[in-house]
Amino acid sequence: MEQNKEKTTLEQHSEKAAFVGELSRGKMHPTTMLDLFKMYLFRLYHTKMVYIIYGAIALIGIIAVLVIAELNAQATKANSGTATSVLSLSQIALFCFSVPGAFSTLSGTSGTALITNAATSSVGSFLPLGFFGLMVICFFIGKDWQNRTFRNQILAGHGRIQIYLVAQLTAFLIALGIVVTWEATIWSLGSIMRIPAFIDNQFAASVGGVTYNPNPAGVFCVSFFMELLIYISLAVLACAWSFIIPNSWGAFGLLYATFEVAALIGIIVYGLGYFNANSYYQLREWLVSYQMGQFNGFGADYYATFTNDRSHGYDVINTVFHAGRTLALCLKTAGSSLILIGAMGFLGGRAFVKRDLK
Amino acid sequence: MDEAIQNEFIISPGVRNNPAELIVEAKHLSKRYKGCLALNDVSFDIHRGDLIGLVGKNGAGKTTLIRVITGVAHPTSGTFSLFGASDAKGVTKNLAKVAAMVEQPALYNNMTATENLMTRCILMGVENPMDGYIRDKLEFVGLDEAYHDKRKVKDYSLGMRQRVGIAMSMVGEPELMVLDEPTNGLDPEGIRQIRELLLRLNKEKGVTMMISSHILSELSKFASSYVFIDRGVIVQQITSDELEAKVGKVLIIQTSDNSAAYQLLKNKNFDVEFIKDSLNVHGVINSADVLNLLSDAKIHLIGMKEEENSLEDYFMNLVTSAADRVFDAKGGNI
Repeated sequence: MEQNKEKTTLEQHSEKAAFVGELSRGKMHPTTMLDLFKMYLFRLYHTKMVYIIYGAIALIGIIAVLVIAELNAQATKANSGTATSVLSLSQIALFCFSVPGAFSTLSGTSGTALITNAATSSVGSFLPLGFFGLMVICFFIGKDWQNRTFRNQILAGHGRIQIYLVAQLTAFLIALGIVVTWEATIWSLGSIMRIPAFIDNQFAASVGGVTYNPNPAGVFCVSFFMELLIYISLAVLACAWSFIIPNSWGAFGLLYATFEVAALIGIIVYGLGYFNANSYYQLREWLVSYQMGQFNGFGADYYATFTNDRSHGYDVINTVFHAGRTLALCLKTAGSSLILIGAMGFLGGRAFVKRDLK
Repeated sequence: MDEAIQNEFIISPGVRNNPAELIVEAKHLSKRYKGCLALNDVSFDIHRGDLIGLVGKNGAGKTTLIRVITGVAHPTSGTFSLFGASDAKGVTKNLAKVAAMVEQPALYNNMTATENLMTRCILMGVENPMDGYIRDKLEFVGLDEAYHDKRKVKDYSLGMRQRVGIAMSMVGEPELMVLDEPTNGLDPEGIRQIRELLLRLNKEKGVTMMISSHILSELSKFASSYVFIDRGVIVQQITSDELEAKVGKVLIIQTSDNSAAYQLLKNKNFDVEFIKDSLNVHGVINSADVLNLLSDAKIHLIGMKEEENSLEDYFMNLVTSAADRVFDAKGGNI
């Protein structure tokens, strides 16, 4: 063919471009999962969406702290200048775990419950901050589908299982980043503005003449770590959907649908309570949406349940309390979270291993 | 497709630049997508140092074949070994020795060219890539200015993206490069540069290459052998020397008994093939030799003409011929 001619052209090739033999080869080491993880971190560092979402969460945190400071200042003013706090930082500390579909069951609080609820549970319901974090996961993984860059990872000798596990680890870090951003913002700024961590009798409740007033720090810690566990399982869920559906919006939509379906199941189980009041709440305690609601409202240890009272000739819902449910709820939360992590983790990995990539 | 016919099409590879080491050995690979057999019992070998042109029309199965041997897609049936390993773990590990650019470069659009190369360097375990390594790769593909360019690759032209893709392929010093339409979107100067670059990698570094294209004239400038694929079947694997003998002047004859004429010329070591109702005789220096032979055998010549057979003509004839033979084998009339 024309190879002889090409050689001539080659010889005339500009000296500017480095010849192959002169190229710096670079020192290389055998690739490991750590290299893959480093690459994911490098990508994360260069993902604008991460900064936008984290920044937005920090901004919301600042606003939330300022609102609380203002409400407390008003309460102090109304109390003739005596320092009075109606809201504490712990009441907004779990907002970062909020996702759609989770029941908000804020327990009865002392003092100005109306203001408290307006400033805390309402914000948690309408601003699902945790969901934004899961959205970042869907879009971060989705970029690899969109850009067809999974093949780069495969062509570096990394197995698909390795890729999946590293992606899950990165998803965990993204979720953790949301929590850290929120907590760092509210606790640091809140401390500067002298907002208390807890207020007096924050988790106190009185039922049937008996006052229940648990240790605030204890309730908070249990709730925080249980919420964190649930949130991590949801991060696994988001990552798994992102590997099952090779499209950011598709995975995101399915994630949202999952929450709605979970909420729907919760409502159905709730409805069952009318027929079997003695056991429905025990069944409900297995549901992630219910768990999130309980812990978000620090209501793990006591929660109102309902029984039918047909003595009036019509259904009357009576409130009864089940103190001492914390341990059972924590165990069920850990169980259901681990089941979710295992099942969805497996399904996501299996889908990725079997799938032909673009 | 009938297996006997199909196997007949897979002409025993005569392409052996370096018979010492087999890099890829594909055996009876098939790939079925929903209702479509994209690869049908494909077998072929790639040896170290080969520069193979993978030739086929759009939809012939080129990209599918590349996707399968680069581990991006799973074959429905069949096996292939990569650098001697045929088990899943070994193939996965050896994929680190392979660089591929399938259809379009796989780049992170939200990153610069340097950052994209950085991701590849991290993945490949290149240490201190910013110490000239990435710059060298970019210079090599003629993108010197991209090293400090703050533009994201999404803002690059198709040709520039193609170059970045090739630069990324070169990270980690691959032993096998599989490139799907690497000159796609490049201007003539860019095509020339990429061609020279690939030749240099092959000649100077001994990088084995498989390059798919449907622009045959382009491939003919550097391929040392060819794999022709059509409808998911490899119809021919041939060296560039053998191909060179087949293209160029071709004598097209029609006789009273084409079958007898075919046998006669074949026996006299002419490179002859059936194309529909005529015979194509390649590499004929003096057409009188052919005429005398036919005359001596009492085979009447009905028509004769000489044509210049381009690579495209050869490929089209090959594909048409293969399709006809499949049709005949399935009960079509001759």
